[in-house]
Amino acid sequence: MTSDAVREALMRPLWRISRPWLAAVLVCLTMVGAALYAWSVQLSQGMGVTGLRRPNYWGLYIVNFVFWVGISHAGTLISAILRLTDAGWRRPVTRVAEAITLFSLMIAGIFPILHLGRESLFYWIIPLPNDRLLWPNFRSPLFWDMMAITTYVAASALFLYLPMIPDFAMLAERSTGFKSRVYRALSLGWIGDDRQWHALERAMKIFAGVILAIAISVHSVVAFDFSMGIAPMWHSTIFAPYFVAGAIFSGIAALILVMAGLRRALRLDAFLRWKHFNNLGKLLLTMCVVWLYFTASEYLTAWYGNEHAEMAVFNKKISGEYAPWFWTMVACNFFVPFILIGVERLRNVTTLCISSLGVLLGMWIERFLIVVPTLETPHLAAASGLYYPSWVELTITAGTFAAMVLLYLLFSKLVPIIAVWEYEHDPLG
Amino acid sequence: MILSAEYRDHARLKMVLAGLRQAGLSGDDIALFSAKPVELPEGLLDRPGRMSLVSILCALTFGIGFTSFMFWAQMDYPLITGGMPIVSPWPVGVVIFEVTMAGAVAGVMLSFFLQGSFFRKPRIAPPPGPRDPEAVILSAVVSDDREDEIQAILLT
Amino acid sequence: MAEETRTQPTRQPHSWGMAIDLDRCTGCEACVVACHSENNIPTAGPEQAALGRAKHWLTVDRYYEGAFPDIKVKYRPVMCQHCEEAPCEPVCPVYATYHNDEGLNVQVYNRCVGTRYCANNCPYTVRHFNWFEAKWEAPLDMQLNPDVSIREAGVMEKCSFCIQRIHRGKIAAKEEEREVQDGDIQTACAQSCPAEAMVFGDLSDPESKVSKLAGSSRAGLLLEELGAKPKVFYLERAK
Repeated sequence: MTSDAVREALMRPLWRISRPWLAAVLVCLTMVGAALYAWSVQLSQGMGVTGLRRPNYWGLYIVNFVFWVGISHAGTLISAILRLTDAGWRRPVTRVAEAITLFSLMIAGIFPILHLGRESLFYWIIPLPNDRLLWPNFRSPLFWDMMAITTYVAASALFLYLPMIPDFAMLAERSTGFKSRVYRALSLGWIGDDRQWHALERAMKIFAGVILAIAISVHSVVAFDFSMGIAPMWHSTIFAPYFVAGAIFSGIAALILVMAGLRRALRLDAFLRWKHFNNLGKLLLTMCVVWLYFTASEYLTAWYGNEHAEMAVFNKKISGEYAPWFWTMVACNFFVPFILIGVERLRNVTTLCISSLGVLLGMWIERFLIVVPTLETPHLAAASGLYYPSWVELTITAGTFAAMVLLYLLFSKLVPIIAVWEYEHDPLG
Repeated sequence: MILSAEYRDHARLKMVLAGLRQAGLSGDDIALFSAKPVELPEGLLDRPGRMSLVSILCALTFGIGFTSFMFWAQMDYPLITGGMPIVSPWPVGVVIFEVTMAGAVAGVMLSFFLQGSFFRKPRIAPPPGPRDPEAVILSAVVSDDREDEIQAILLT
Repeated sequence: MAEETRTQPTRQPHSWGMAIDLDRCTGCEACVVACHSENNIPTAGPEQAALGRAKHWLTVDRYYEGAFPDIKVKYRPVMCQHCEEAPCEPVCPVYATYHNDEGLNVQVYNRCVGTRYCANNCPYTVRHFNWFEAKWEAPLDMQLNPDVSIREAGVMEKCSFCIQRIHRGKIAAKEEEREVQDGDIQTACAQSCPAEAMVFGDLSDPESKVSKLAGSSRAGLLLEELGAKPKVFYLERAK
């Protein structure tokens, strides 16, 4: 494709509102509105409107939090790891992935505030000087969470923003009036001289390494929220690497789905080709096996140790009330992707999307199975209890998925979804 | 004065650049304007930067600074929790890692803005008017007496 | 602030603990009722209790042994064990719960933001959360204890070893210019037990009743293997 054709194709969706797009935005806005309403009910009446109870003090909000932080590893894997290994095929995919990372982190960051009993005081966890000379408890895993997530959000936002600067300059040249002024401001006076290009490439290289380190530590810290506690089947040393591997796994699945959706919606067949899907599919297959390995290690260790409190939780998951969930998770996370991707004849974009949907569902169930059964069966059996999420929690969960789609719908209209300069840089990519 | 020429052929661009360097022009006198990064062999038009160093220094500053702050804050407000010591390396280590990484990010951004001369007026201004996205524009600052000589090199 | 001015005690600081004799406990739950009225704990009501939100700082757990007709029922009152190395304390991000120098695991209601991590980490599940604003139907709203604050929605609470009574006892002793004697301070539960199964006192005083009971051969700790070092000693005849 000629350069002009590439540019035209990538800029065509911008600022053009079509009916399907508008319909999708309206649906998402409705769901987000419902979620906001549910939140307002929770704020006015209290946490009692959720399904939480003694001993299930953590529920769907924490499940969603861990899930969305997991999805955020999409960008890290593609952008950071593939940038560091200089894999050329990553070029059309990087901005899609980085946007997924930022948006999912923005959504994940809402949940720790949402699940607080006194939400308006969330800032007490930040070490700010105050009149009462109080500092937060630096020993708490939730404090580490706050530091890690904040760092990751800032780094991801900058990681997404930096390569957009040349594109903003190009958009400023090609638009007029108010739009041009906004894009010009966003491009920070980019003039495209080789000094700036060099600085940009250097920055992205270093950034890729740093953000990889941050991403691994972030999900490890989120895992520490569980593994630092002594609740049965939470106090497991494998949690940190397990969560990171699971995050990369769900991130790739989310990326495949978003890519397939964008390819269809924005007619990017020439850019997002089978090669990209194939490579991501192979990565998904790899992570699916890695996931199985970690899960098997976790459960085999628990079963063999036969520790009283842990076995109560274990049995609940494998053969008890949560058995249908557990085995669905195993099917979705291992068998479906392994067969649909492993068998080369079955591998195509549609089956990849099916596998990815399965993986997302399976990973959400996995987060649920980590949080809920453990809390239902505490050390003192007399305090056991069952957890059912209420309409408030379910509405908010649905609303956050809609929020993700909504953010992406808006993003795809404002910025070219494939970095024009990066794509042209290696048209064989 | 500033001389500019437009090139579409990458090999020719490299030849012209080599010629300009041989003629004695330094890297500061030359600028390339393009819509995508231009690959050049090492030594032709190097832009020495200290981005790695700046980011490491920033990271260390953040890390050490925050460690000191944490140490001071914990001793300022010492409460016993779970029988743990007031300051213990394990939990503190996690936080220091995050802050150090945040420092590296800040260092990279700082260095990026400085190295890219973002908030200063560029020494060689970009050529005005719409540009061909395929072409690379080479601009060189030359003293008036060398104008013809450099012009010749640019047109080779 | 961390430092507070206080008169130096003539002997080592108190270390409050309890001894509960399970062989005397009849499971009457008078202690639970006393705790409710002393500490302004509202009843949850039938709907909320069905949802698992019944809030009792002190629960009497019932364990059934054997099969009909040889069933035995055992009662075990469980409240906050005020563990010396409490797992609930280090996980609170805002220092709403910490260990004070009298061995109490204190809960600071004003500071709690409601992350509920402490409740997850308590192996005895003795921590409770305020799901809604506390409400008492008239005329029960006139029987509240003025010494105890009413917790707002969104904060954690748990047994405090009746810290208000501890303060009252220490102030009374200081006014009379004497040391706190064993038996001066009684928690509401210990005071109300008709079988005298619950004893509260200073474990650092070797002459106190609770120290003597804690040293008995029948004494043991709940979930001792977890290493939290609880300070509630359960006495029962070993089979």
